[in-house]
Amino acid sequence: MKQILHIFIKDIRRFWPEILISLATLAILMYSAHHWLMPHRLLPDSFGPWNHDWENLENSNRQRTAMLSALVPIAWWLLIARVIHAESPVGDRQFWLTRPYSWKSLLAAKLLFLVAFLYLPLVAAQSALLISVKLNPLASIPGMLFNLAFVTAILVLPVVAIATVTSSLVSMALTILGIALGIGALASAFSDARILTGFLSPNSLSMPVGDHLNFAFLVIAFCGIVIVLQYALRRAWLSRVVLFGTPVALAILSVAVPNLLYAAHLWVRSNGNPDMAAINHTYPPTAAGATAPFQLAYGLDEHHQTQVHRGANIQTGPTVQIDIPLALSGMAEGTAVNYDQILVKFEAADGSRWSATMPNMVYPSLILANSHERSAHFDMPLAEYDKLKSMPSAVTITLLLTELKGTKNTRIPTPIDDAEVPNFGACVPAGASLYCRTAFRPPQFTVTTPEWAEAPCNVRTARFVQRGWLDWVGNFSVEPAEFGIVPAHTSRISMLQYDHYKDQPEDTVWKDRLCSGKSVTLTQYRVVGRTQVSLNLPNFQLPALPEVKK
Amino acid sequence: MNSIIHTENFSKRFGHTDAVDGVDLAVPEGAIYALVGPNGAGKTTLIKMLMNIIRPTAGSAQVLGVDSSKLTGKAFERIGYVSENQELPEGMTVGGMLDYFRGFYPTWDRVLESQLVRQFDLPLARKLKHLSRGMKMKAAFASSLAYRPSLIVLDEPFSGLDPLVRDELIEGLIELAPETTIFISSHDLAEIESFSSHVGYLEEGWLLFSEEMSALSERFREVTVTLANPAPLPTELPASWLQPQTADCVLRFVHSDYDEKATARQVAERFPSARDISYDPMSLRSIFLAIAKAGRNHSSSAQNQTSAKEAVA
Repeated sequence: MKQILHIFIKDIRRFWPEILISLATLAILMYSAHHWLMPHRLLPDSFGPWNHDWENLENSNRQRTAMLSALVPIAWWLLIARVIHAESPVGDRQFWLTRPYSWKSLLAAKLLFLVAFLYLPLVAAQSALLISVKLNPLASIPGMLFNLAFVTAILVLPVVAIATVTSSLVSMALTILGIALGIGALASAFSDARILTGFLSPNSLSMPVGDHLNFAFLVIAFCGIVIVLQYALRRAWLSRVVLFGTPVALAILSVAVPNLLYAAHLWVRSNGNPDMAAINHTYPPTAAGATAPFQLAYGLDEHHQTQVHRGANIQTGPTVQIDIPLALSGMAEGTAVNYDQILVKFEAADGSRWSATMPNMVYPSLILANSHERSAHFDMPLAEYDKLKSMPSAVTITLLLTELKGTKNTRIPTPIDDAEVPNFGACVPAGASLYCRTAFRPPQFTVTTPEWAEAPCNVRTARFVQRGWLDWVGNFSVEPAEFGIVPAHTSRISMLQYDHYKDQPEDTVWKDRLCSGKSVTLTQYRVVGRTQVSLNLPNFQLPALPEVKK
Repeated sequence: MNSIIHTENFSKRFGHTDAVDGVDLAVPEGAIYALVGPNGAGKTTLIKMLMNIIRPTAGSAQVLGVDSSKLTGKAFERIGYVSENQELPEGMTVGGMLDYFRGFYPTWDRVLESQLVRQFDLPLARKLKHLSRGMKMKAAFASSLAYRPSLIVLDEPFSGLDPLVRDELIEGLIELAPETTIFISSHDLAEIESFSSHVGYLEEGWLLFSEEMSALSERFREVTVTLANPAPLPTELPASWLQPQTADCVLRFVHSDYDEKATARQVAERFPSARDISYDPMSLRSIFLAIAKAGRNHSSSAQNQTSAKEAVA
């Protein structure tokens, strides 16, 4: 312990300029983040519904904070490089090799230094920022620990590992640059590949709980092994091979090989058609005896017709955009679904077939319990349309859905001031929106339901002036933090529908008003599963394309 | 006498090159052992292996009774190591470095430290990176002598230094010599000769000999033979005759295993017309020049290496 402190104190004396640079950069970042998160503090008198100064201010502060967020890791890396290279485990000329250093004490001293001048300031700065933006850091301890794990796995330990296998700041910087270019090249090489995991996880809703944390711990453990190996053995080439070779091997095994196998599988088994086995695996059909989230019917009536329009696709050429109206019923209160993808199959009387799966393009993708109508929107290649339009087809429309269940309801009475919202974060009215701050991550997926007043109310006392539409914020991840140095996220919940009618004065188009004394309800949803709901249309006739006006 | 350093078949191979090849070495306690040899002979590699800075390919070594491969941490409390190639904590001042190192050594002698600082005229407040090469070596010496190590290992410590600095360093070293063992590699044969008790000669990784300085001086002689008539050099000469050459009626060579009677007999057998023989003692520098030149005349094959070893051993 004596030796650890001896080395630690020496490093403080020697690297105080680097420490100051790191602390100053962090402080400036947090100062900027405070202004980004609290723009209304800078414009208290112009925070009204139609004044967009705050929005410009918020955007500029956000951009400045993002730039500063990139500077903090650079300051940290400088600090890490200097302190590790002061007694570099690489090479055979270092003075410490023939002094009574214990490698364990040396490593412990370096880690103590990072804890003292990187982690403690970070935790202190994050806590101070959260307090300053009216968020409680004590309520966010899991998020803070989670975030520290991410920061360690992404920004700190890999750089410490690189510093232990390089002998100078320049070689370390070049190594980091090389790795960044390598990752970029790999990402570019696989950007067009159909990644197996990408298909099975069609969007961010599906990241299984704990995946990020497992990844963080894997990186921490791996870098830890390299660092200990290098300090204990001082075999730089062995450590370099382990440090750089293992991730490359893992990337090949986990990305390239599955992609090739999946491509081969699609080619052999599916011949270009949707892979039903994979779809049914990811979106299991409702089991016999179980209840589907809702019933689906053809929604054809006098107001809703199947529509076709000409379109184009860069990859497939001319297309026809098809909208088939759907009617929904029987959805249980407190439930919702996210409409992820659509699978369509056409089988004409003459045996012609066409099928495709594609992401949902209908907005909003969220379907709440009170929803009754929706459309199936998909693109069909023009050549297929020409084949199928002349005769009726048996059509199967399958919606691939993520099932959601409402959990927490929070009512916010109006008028709303800048205050903490339980189970959510802290919100402030900002123009026609709620401008909310949450600690360490965007909010859990939350739907807002304003309590509208039929009669007009005083706009001056009610911050929210008009009828809104369905809006939601957040994501479905249940992890308590996302990676980032700034410990807060912002989100805007719109309360306004911008429907303007040229022939009517602006004030008359809004029928409902959110008045003082009413409330806004925030309902959080969580993912409970995935499923698919199908509709069979046995005798469906594609309508003709509208004539092109010349 | 106990060996402070003892190696057996100590070897290091870099690719296809044997930097150090089967070195068997024993440095007795209290000795000032000079390891000499031309550039690239493997002196630095041998020392780095002894200090566990690099690992041997084969063989083993004991340093202060510790296996050299386990020489870490506390073991260095008794070893002072200075190398011309060593990097110092350049960002520190001389005083800061001494303060820092002091914490590592229970035997650190502050009086000796002050004495060395005065003796070497070290500027305590100046950063190491702003010092001249000579001053840096002095600082390195002071930081490696102040704790009175049992073994001082010096790798080319005088290389490139001016004579004044060299004298100061040697002076500092000699003052500590009675209570320690010194292992020094150097090209500075003249200085080494003045204070070394033992010497080893390394060439192309081979330790050609290792012995006491006095014994070495005794067995090397420059032999001059005056012949009655000019005579060519016989093809077969004793291996211990180095650099034999004739000019008119004079034969000259360096005898690496001198014994007056035996040498006279060898000369008489090969040169019956020999009229006069003189034997001149040689300086260490002359001895090594002779060995080095003799070595270059051989090819570097293992067989000839063995011959060279036999010639000087």
